Amino acid sequence: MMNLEIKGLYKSFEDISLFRNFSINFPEGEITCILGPSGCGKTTLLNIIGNIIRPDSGILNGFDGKVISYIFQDPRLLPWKTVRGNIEFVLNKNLPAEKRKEITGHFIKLVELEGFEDFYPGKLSGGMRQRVAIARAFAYPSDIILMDEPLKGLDIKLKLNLIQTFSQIWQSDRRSVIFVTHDVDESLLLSNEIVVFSRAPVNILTRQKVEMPLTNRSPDSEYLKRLKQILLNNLGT
Amino acid sequence: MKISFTDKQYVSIASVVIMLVIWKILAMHFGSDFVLPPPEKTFFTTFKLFTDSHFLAIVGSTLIRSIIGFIFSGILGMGLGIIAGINPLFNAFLRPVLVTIRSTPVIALILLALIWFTPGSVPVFIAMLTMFPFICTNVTDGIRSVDRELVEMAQFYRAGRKRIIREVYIPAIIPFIISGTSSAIGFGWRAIITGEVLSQPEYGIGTLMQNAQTFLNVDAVIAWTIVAVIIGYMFEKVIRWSEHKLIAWRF
Amino acid sequence: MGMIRLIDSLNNGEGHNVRVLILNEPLQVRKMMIDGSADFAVLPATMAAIVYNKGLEYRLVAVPVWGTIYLIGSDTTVSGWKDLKGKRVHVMARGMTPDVLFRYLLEENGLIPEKDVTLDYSFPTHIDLANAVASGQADIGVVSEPLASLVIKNNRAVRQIFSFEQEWKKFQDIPLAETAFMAKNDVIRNNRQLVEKIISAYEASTEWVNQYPDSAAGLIVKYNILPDTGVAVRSIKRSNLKFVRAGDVKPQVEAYLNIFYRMNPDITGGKIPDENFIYR
Repeated sequence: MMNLEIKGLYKSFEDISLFRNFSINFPEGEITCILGPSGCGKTTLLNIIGNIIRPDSGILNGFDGKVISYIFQDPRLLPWKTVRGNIEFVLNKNLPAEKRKEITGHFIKLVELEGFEDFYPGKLSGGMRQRVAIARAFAYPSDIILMDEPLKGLDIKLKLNLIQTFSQIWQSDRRSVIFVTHDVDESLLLSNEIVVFSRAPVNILTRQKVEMPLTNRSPDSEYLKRLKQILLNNLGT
Repeated sequence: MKISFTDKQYVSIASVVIMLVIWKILAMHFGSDFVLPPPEKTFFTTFKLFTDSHFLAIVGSTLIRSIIGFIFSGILGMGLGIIAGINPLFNAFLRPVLVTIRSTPVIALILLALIWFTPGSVPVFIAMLTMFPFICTNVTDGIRSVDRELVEMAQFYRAGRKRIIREVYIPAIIPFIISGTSSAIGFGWRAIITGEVLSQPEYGIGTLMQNAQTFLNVDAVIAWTIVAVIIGYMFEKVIRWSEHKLIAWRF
Repeated sequence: MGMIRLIDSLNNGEGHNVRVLILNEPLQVRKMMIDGSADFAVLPATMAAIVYNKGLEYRLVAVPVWGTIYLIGSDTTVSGWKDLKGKRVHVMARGMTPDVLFRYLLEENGLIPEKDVTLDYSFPTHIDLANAVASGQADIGVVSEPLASLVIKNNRAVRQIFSFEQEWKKFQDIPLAETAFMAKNDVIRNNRQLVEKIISAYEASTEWVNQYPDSAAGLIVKYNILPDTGVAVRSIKRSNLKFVRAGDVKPQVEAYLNIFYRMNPDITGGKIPDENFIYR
């Protein structure tokens, strides 16, 4: 399997050094979760990968030519476009109308928003809006999906719901996913591998694979509870 | 056939009726057509105005002046507003100018305009000058209000400059433009009629108001006022209607 | 101005409570008639007709002034009416006597007001307009005495282009019954004696002014109507002061009003004043 690699990354903001000679790799086609305390630089790494900010120095391998989708913490939907319109927004304008309708329809179905195609975001709940954002990220013909704390501030039920939705889509379309969170439970429910970050300057404290099919996962699982303990121990340092 | 009204409509209708009753009582109290003619007489005069052969020319002239003024102030307002929205320095430069124009009493502007312009163009100039600060300020605010995060998202998804302007900036600005237009038209319509009263172009609602004054036709003064108010009200309705069409997503 | 001797003697005399107020604009006179504070009033004849027709309780007693309106200006290219074509002429206010008179003369001379000649009402009062012509802001203006003479004195470039009285005579046999002297009905009913007294005094005063213009000029300056006696003398001559009782010129007054009534009924208040308009 190919890896997406970052080697020798240096990045500081003002006087704070976030990354000093930092390296990490991500297996392609897998969901990798970056788990760490707030402010440690997780979002910065994501933004470097997404080309939103430049590193001071470092090498990124395997990212060239890759198309990237981004799911932000808040849905960032255009209020004046319908659900369908928002998803179409990221599609190539030159695609014929039926093709666009087909694609948007497909993903709207996958996020279980059938019937809401012509609704404006103002009429949707927070969870539904995030689902549209997910559909949009997948509708965009990307190779990598980046997610920055996408479930922050949502209640448990909604989280589980969205995790369910996401896994369903991902099963049929296994793109590389890198997502960032400080919530241990989230990381356990959604990723194939969890990388724990320390505070700045960032070190990898541990990497834990989660050997359990996404669809089977539940917070009650013993396996996951044990894994959680390991992670918490690491986060304590 | 039953005609039913909602509570809100009842209250509005009642309000109008009460105003008419007060008018009638005051008219009877003063007893003089020079101070306050009674409503029936005034409404009759208003209808007579409609039948005047020049009515369309008169109202049309004032309307055309307003529309021309509005178009010019729209172009100028949007042009400057966009620049000010993008460039904070220019905005800082423009602000005192706009505040000065907005704070200057309209009558002072008219008196100055009478010195600089021919009477025919004074009303248009006044319309333009009074309307453009509203549009300019609103466009600037609109641009500055555009959600940075949405622009970021669009850039991230490689939406392309033109698309971002068309589908992220413009829809965000439209509510502001509508608000600016509403204020501008309301203010400009009244200013233009005042301008006509003083500059006396051959055809115009303001001119006719002044004429009525000269000929001691107080009911005609009020009648023309009613015409002006009705038209102002219709402008308002048009704007409300276009608001519903253009920003359906807000409702 | 014809009243100036009367004013002076009233001022010097005692034992009466007659006050004369000299106002700048006819609209100010009209206001005092609307609120009833004026017992007698001197105002343009067309305005008198409007006021009477609208029901104000005043009647026409006499015509004390006949033609005082002139077209003056610094534009040297205008010598005949046709030369006015394409020019801008400043007039005091739409619908008032100078305006309607000018329009009448324009039409009689084959010119269409506002189309062939631009009419500019930017200067809304007598004084504003006179100042504008004097300062050169306005090239051509319709100005009445006593201001017309004053402007010509103050600005050498300004001269008289037309005398409306003379131009009027080319088309009408009847004279220009331009100004009206009105009395309140109450006063007529309750104190007819006073009315007659004032009529005689006003008549005498006007004759005196015409006979002794130099002395009259002195009074005119004394009461601040004009700033110098030279101008005052000229102005008197150009003001056609002649006091005539309304009863004696009834047909002329009616004919005068009729001309404007036919142009636009609003000018005389919607109709020709009836029998009771004239005081006997």
